[in-house]
Amino acid sequence: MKTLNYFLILILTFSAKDINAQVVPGYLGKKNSFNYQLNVSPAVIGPNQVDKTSWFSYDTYPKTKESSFITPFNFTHSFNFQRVISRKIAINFGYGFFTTRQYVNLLVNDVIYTQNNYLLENIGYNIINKNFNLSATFYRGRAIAPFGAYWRLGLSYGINKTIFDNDNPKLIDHTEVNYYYYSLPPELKFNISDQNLNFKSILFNVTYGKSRIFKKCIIFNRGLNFTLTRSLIAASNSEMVNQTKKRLRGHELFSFYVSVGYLF
Amino acid sequence: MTKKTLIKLFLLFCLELLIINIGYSQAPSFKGLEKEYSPIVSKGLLPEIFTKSATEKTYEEYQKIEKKSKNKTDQKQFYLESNFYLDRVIKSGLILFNDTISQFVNSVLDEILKTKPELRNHLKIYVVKSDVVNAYCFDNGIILVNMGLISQLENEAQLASILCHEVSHFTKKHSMESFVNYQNMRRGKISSHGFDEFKYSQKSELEADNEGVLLYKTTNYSYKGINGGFNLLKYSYLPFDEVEFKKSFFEDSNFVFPKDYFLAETAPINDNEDIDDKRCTHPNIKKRKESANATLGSIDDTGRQKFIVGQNQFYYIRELARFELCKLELIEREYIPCIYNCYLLLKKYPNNVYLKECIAKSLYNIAAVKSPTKDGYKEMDKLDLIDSRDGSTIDTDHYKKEGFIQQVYHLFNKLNATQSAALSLHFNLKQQQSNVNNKLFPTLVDSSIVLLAVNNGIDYNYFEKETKQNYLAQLKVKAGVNTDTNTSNKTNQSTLANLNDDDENSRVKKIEKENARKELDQSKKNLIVQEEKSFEKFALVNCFKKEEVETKFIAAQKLRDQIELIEENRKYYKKKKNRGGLGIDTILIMNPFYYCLDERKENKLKYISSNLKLLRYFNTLTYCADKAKVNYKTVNFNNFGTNDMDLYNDYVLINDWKEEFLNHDFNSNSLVLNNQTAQHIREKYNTNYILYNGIVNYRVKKENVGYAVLLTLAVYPAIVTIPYLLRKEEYTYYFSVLYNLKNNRVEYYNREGLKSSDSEDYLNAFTYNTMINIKQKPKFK
Repeated sequence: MKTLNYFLILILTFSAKDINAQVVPGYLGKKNSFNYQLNVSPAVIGPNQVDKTSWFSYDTYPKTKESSFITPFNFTHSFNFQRVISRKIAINFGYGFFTTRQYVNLLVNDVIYTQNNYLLENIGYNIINKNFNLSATFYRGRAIAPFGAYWRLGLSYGINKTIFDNDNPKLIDHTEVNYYYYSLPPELKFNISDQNLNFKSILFNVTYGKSRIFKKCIIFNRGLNFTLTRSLIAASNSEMVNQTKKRLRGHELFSFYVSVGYLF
Repeated sequence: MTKKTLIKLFLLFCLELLIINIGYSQAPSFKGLEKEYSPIVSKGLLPEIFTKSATEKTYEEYQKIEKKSKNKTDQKQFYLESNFYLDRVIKSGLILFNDTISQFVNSVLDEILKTKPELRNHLKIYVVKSDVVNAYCFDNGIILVNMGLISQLENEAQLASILCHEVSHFTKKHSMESFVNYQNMRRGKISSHGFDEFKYSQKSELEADNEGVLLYKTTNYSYKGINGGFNLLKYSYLPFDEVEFKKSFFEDSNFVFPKDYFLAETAPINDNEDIDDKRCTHPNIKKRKESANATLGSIDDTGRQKFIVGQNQFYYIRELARFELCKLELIEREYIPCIYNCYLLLKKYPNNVYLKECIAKSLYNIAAVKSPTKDGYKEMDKLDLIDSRDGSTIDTDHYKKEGFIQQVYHLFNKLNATQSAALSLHFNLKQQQSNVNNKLFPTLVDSSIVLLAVNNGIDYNYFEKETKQNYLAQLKVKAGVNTDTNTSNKTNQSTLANLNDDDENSRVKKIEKENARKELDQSKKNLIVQEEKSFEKFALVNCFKKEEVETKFIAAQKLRDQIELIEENRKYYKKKKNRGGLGIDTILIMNPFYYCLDERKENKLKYISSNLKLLRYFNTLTYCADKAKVNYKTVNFNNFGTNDMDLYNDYVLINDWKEEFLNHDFNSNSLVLNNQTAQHIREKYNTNYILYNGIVNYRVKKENVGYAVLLTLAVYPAIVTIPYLLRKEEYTYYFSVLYNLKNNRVEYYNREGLKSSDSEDYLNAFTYNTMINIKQKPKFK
């Protein structure tokens, strides 16, 4: 799959040369750029905080070993290659990734004694997303690509992977009426990895940004990004799956971004 | 023959020569100007004011300001504005130096200040190529005298009196004083009611008059020069001479204008000196004369002269100024004054080709302006004072329409598009015949034919081949004016219906006679109208190379048919679109312009930063040209050194061409006729293209700052609001025009505007885009 993506990028890059039917000035003749982009989301929906359950709440989650989420922001990192194909249009190929965190309370039924419910409280897990992005940038007004204000429309293909803090979380009896047993059967174990959370997703993003060029070769972009995420997984009753999908949507929905790149 | 008689004859001959010379001594004609005239150019080394930047000059003048001065800020602003204004005048390429006229004007100033060498050293005098009758003095001692003023002078003393006035402005520091007064008035520090601004200006002018008169008194110039100078200003709106314009100038035996195309009498010239001067910067002439007389007191003119530097020299430079005036009027598109001035000069120099060329160019462009354009645009009537919409009357209230020049205005108001084009063709054909080697007249003949055939829809058959006399005879026959044939026809008829009573006194006979008389009168009237209205039909009767003209007409008719076909099928006809560039290899880059404005401030134009950015931008321009691999040569005023006189003269020529070009409406049929200039530049720089670039950046007041601050307090919006608060609210516009000198067209025009600062990346992006558009080969789709 990875090899196929690289090939796709290469083919599109060189085919862009043939699209060139009109004057394509680029910036001082430079039409390609490679940049690193950092998206920062205020994470209004589902903040990535270790302590607060929501942005507007004072309730806190228990402390964990995770220490990467020390700010109330979500971050997405990406590396992009851009090629100017006309005075107003550029195409971009990107590879991005982000890690986002989720806590879920899960109610589990005993497999043998179905009347019994167990609560898995505050299951913490990281969702790692890697995505391949193809987008077209349309420069606004009198701007000349790759300089000036622009709208960018993009489509990404994302691969999500989930890593739980603890594969065998402690089960707490949550049975409301327990007639038969007085205590938890010690042999009952719950393997959380069995939850199918490694699904694919498609992200459609719209970006409004501005780019500036310094020292004739350093390109600096800034702007706003809106992303709609569609998870490629069948509808499920699982609370965990729904929460994960929500988390992914929330992470990417709205973000500010800055990028620094080299123009050549 | 005895020796005595021989001596007598010789003496008589000498006396006759003397009389002839005395007769022409007032306005001699000059041999060098009899056939040709070459426009004046500057010579020698470039003066310091041309090579030193305005910023440098300003900083130097800042040193003059006293530290304890009350109006320090105003004085700084004054130096800044006056230096940059002077810089703009210099860069317009209109200033002449070291030429014959400038040298003479300098000599007159030397003569005035021969007892005051220190003051003389502070003053520098230059001639400006402007047709406006004016002279002005800058605070740094630079006096500019317009060509229009020199052309109207009658003697050297008049020039001396005007220069004395200007020198007094310098010694009294009037320009600084009026600037500070104006600033104070604006701020309310000194009272200002109604036209007080003009009052202060008039006060300074009267003071300069009085001081000037006192300075004039120290010279040996005749006091007549003072009154003469005032009279010159009084009639400055008139041409340099008053000679009746005769319609025969454009006519021949067949091509004759109708009587009503000429006025029986032209409007009298207003000689009122006591005009209302409430809204004038200068007091009226009456007040000025009275004030000067009061200052002078009783005077004795004995021993004083009208000419000191040289009478012949004076007449020569005045003649040059008058010749130059014709060119300036052509550039300014003031065709009617140009025709009249050439007419005046042709009286003296009947064989001068330059003057005939000026008339030919004017005639063609008048016709071009009046003719409809083929692209369906409305008639272009942008010509000064020619109203082609009604084309009948002239506004007699207009100040220029006094005296004999009114006749010319009237004529061209009467002429319609076809008649104007026919006049242009007629005149150019006549000149082509008498100046066989000239290249301009055949070009204008061709252009006039195209104008007639394509724009006015006139065929060759429209023009009469017969002489006017024969044509009229035929018309008479057609109209039945010949009563004898009528009556004889009638008498021969002997049908019963026509067989009336023979009695002459019968009522029927009387009615018949009366009707016949009325019919005859009407025919005569129609004949006269037809004869007069169709005078342009005879433009080609006496023409030179008739067959050639016919061939050209037929070619133009074919062209017209093609254009009409294209216009009819316009909606089906798709022009091939160029998706590429222009494919131009070599260009000539002229010095760009750069204006930084700040709308929030009282003094909006940021002079010094504009100047510094301009210098930097020129480097960007050449860098981008290099990057785009465009071959270029530069004529940049800002880089001129003392020895760059050739470059300066080229710069002036290009500016003249550009000025004339820009004065034309792009959609009109007019031609830019400064072609000889263009030819010289094209050959010298080996390119047909000149590039002008410019940047305008302006900063405006930021709105909604309060809301932004409030939003910042809500943490998240700060990501947007903080950059908004930190960013300057600026707009930057980029202009780029590529002119084609060969076909007088704008080959490429680009205007870009962004809400952005004038950062390096912005300028690089747009400038490079221009260069790449110039360089890349065309790709038609």
